[in-house]
Amino acid sequence: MAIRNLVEARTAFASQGLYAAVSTRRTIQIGTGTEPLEIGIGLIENGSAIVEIDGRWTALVTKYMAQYEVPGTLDELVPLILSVYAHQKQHGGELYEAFEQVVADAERYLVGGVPARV
Amino acid sequence: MTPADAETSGTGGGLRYLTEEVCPEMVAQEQSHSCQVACARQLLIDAGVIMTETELAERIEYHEGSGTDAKDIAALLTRLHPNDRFMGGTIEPGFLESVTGVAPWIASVKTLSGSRHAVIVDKVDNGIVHIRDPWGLFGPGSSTGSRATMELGNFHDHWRAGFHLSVFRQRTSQGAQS
Repeated sequence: MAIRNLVEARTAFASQGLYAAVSTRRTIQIGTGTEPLEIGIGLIENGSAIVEIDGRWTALVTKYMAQYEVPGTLDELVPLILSVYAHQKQHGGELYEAFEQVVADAERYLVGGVPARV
Repeated sequence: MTPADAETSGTGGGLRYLTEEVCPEMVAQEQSHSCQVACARQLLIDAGVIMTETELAERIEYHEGSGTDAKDIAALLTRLHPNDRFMGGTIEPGFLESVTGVAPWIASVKTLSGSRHAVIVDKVDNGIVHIRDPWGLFGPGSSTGSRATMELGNFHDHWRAGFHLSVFRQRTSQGAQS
């Protein structure tokens, strides 16, 4: 089934038991659940995201202060993220570790880690 | 306030600051990768706990090439802060108002150069985000960090691209702060 927008992406994630929330800023955040805190803030467990940056969809999986960024269409990125969560569910470990197992040559997608110097 | 030069402000031009100036109330990070530690250090200084960046860095795991973990920073702050407990992680969309209600807090933002950086958010006022930045005007080795302002929309974009990672106090001893 084609995924044409974030609402359909959310449906796809929810159908697999994942938490997914769409913001007004062309972002969908995904996780295995949320931890509501007493001050009203919700923390996403095992979070990832698909965001639109400069007109392009990009999947984000964080690795401490770095992050994996994979550009693509929603049709490509939603199944990718679903496969990462499925791998984590089966094998355990951190989400970024699952990403590294699922995505060939994952290092090429790693961005950031330290601020760029002038 | 000094109008910020977009080419030179905020981590070497990486953040879209409106204004930026030297800030004695913000320590400068001492390493290129120690922004989260520097922010935590400043929150402790704000609470009267004086520690060096080295002393803090020794108490937290640094992941080679990837930096520190927001959850670890929160746990460190909880151990050392005299009053408050902290949480760290990815915030649900739409919770900026809630997390700013317990400001100051630490936001992970993505810079225009593609790197991730941590800053302290002090408040949001009339669509302007007030920030303390450990990078300072000249990067690691600056005498102090800087104080800056940013339009809320731009902040959302930087924070969103930085995965909404945050470190914030779970409860304040004096109630929510603006």
